[in-house]
Amino acid sequence: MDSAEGRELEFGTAKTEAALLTGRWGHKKHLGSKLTAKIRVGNGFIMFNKELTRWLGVWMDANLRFKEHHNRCTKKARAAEARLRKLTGMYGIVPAWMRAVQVRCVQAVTLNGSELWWDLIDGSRLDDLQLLLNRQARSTLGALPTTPRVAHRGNSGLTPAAVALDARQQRYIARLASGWDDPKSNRRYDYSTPGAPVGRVAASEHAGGRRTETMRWQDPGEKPAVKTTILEVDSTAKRAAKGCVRVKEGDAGSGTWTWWMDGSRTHDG
Amino acid sequence: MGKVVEKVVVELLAEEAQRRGLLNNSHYGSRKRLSAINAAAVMVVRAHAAWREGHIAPVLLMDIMAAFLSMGRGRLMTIMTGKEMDGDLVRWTASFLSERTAEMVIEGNVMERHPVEEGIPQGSPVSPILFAIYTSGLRLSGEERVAGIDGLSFVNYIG
Repeated sequence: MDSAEGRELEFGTAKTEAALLTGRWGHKKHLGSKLTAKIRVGNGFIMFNKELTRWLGVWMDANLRFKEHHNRCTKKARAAEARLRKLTGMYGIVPAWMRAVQVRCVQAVTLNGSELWWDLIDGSRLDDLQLLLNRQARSTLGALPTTPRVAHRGNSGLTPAAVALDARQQRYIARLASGWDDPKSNRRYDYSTPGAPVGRVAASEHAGGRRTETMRWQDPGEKPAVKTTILEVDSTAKRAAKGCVRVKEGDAGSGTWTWWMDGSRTHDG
Repeated sequence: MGKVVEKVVVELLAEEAQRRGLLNNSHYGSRKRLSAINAAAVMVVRAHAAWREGHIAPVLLMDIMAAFLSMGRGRLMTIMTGKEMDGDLVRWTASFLSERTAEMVIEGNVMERHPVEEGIPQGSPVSPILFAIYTSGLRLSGEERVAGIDGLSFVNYIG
């Protein structure tokens, strides 16, 4: 950009990177030949990354499974948990404080970017997180490693991994969806695009002070599995029960699921 | 107090810039509901869309060097007035970026004050949105020159 006032804007070649997102099946087909290709940027050439590419704190692999991102986050969280354990000693501090520290320092690291890879149906990588959560629960209560998991899981007040992951993704989608009817801005995303987290809201309608959204978890063309209702900000329910607001309710298979703000759900089917 | 005012102005500037067509869905950072994760998610969506059509998705990540320091106040004003942004916001921005000085203190020794003519302050909440407005044409010119590319930009005030 040529600038008469102010200096010219310049792209830093040292920080310029190129990546090839090939998809799961395109990896073998394309990556081998394309890796020798270069992109010309300014006076230099940029090679495609052979390994991972980091962008905005997210480690991307060629097929966008985010496995390495998950591994790195879990490793960092484990290290943070070990440091906390070292600081607080065997019997820890007051459980309520310890829980707060665990959630902010360990869980926040573990769940970073999980919106991008967590899949409710698939459910892989859950065990890693649950194992870490079990350690966190023991740290919170000062429990011995031999204490039965059932005892400290509930008492520690830490959200189970599956629920925490669901909650994070649900909140993320709800946050995106909350911008839909904003008259001041344009519609922000193409929600009809399937196959990725932001593409899961399929339809939205407004009636009687409620925004109803149909969530799609299966492939396009299949019957919507979960119907979601997000109550308006000033709704009575929200004012009445802060922190435990019923935000979503819907049909899933034979029964009805109710989603709660903290990510838990009840199933009455 | 200054930071509070700046935070309010950020929101107003973002809304006004979007209304005037300076910012759109592809500008991330410093705007509500348009965070780093959203930008990454949109990239995922676009890659998936390319795969479905049988293509692969090459990605080029570029970083503007000394971004905030390189910005010209006059050019920014031209962009804002050219798109007929709200007069109060333009005047506030002009005032925010004028009569700035820098002073260095090394081991208690205060050095002479120097006027700062170029750039926008590092660490101010307003700087990212002003930079996004400043570079709003950049993405579009790239997309016009090369067919079939999609541009995403992200700006923050940490780096």
